[in-house]
Amino acid sequence: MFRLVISDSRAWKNLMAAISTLVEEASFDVKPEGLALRAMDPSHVAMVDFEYPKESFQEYECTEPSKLCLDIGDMLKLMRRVEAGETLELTLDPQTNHLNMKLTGKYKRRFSLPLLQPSVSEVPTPKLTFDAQIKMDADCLNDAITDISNVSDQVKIEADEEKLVLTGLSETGNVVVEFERANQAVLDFQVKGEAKALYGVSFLQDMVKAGAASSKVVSVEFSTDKPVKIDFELPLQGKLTYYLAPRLE
Amino acid sequence: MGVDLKDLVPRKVLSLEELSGKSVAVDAYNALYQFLSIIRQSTGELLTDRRGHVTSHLSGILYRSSNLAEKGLKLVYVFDGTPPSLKSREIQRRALVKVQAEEKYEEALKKGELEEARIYAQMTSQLKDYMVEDAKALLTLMGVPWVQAPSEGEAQAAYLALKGHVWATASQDYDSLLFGAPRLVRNLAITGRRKLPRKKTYVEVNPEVIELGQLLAELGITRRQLVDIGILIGTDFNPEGVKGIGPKTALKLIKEYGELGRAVSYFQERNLALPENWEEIAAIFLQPEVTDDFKIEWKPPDVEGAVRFLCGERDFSEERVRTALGKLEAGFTELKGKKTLDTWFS
Repeated sequence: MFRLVISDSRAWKNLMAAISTLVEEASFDVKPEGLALRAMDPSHVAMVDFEYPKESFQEYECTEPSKLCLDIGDMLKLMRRVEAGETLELTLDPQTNHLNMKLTGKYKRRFSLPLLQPSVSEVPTPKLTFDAQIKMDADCLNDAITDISNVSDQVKIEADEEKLVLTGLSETGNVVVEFERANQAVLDFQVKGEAKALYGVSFLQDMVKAGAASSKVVSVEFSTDKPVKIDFELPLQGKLTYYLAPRLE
Repeated sequence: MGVDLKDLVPRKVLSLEELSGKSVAVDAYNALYQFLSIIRQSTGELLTDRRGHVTSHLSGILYRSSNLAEKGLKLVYVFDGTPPSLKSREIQRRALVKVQAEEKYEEALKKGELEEARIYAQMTSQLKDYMVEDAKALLTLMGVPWVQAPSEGEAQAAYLALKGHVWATASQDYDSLLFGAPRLVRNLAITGRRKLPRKKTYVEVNPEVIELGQLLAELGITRRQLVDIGILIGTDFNPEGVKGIGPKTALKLIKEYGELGRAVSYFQERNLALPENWEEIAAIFLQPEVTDDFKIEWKPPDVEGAVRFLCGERDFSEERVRTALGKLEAGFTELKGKKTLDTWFS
């Protein structure tokens, strides 16, 4: 038995869009304590780690753990015209092997989506320690990366004890964005020594844009030439975390 | 040829993107024969330099390797050594087919039937020693590593994958699974389409990966049993297999009897001839002759050296060669800087 109700279906759509930046097929772990998903993009450069505890749903019923695998692009297509006040109910139909989606707003809409064969591979968590941990306004980070994406296909992220600097360099121009530790966009700033690493801008942009649609606060954590962890705060114990492998010069 | 397991194996279609950053061991002879058969002029003649040296296979190696390198794939070519003596009958059979095809080719050409001529020409492909030497020289100049197998190339390639030197083997044949390769990639072509034999139509082909562990789990058998099934269907060492036994029957029989040795009476009762030396054949797959004497290292291409060899000696167009080498170089630099998250899992 599996059934859940989400009071804000727009928020759910944003979270699904955040997952779809990396994978086409989403394989959720459905557990009595909530939904979870961990997946990498096909080239293994980026990872999304998503958890949504049962408390985050308006109603949540799950009697036994299972896998729920679906084409997330198709789900988003069905949810394209979702409105802010609509309630979303998800149930499984084991007979037809479909996921049923019921949207209730001004009127009722029902969609159903075929389930896919779940893949067997489990994705481990990267083992990392971070010299720089900076909590900041998600929209400001999004703006900074958008500026850089206009000139370069990679972002240099540097931090020392004073500030966080994002740089994009190319023949068409250079962009440098600075966040000093006292800046009002910065909520928490912990840097040991210095940290500096290079990342592909397109993944970073997709992640931050999608995450900023669901959360106002983001933590950026990294060390020199190591993956960056981008953690968006969600209400209750929800988790939307990305990892992105560095590029080396 | 190889063992025909296609009806039994679970496969997963891949995009080339998913193979980015991964290393694969290619059965060099398998690839070279493919190039010799496909890369031909419209009348079916091979490409040659002005002295008559065949260059079709060099063209294949250069363009395919550089296109794949551009997509982030790291190739290792594995060359056959001395084939196991059991293979001699298959080798003789192939030689005979080629001689017959040669005659039919001449005949069709005389009659002016070009399409027919081309088909027979494809069947005459012969790999001569100088072609292999040229291929190795070119790979070295390209910075693409190659490994000399003591015996079967497929066996050595499987060994490289088994020991973790490469992520997978790449071949059209399924034999490397019998040799124990944990992963086999098929259809590793860049074009995404393949011409159907004797037709002017093309089909979409995508790379696919077959995982040995998953294959064995889904069929509920061991690798030993997979080898037994291969012997019943037919391998390079007993091309005919057992008459009337296809993949599905073979699977059923081996599951029922547990192993080929216990099923002998089944074949005797039905007057079916099991290859006499089936135990020897099984041993070729289960204890293959392989070597630890190799070094796998991807290097940037020696552009000027490759241009001297291909354009100076083998009459390639310099512009096209430089473009291909440029892709190879770009792929190499990109890979050097690119890391995947896998590095931080262990």
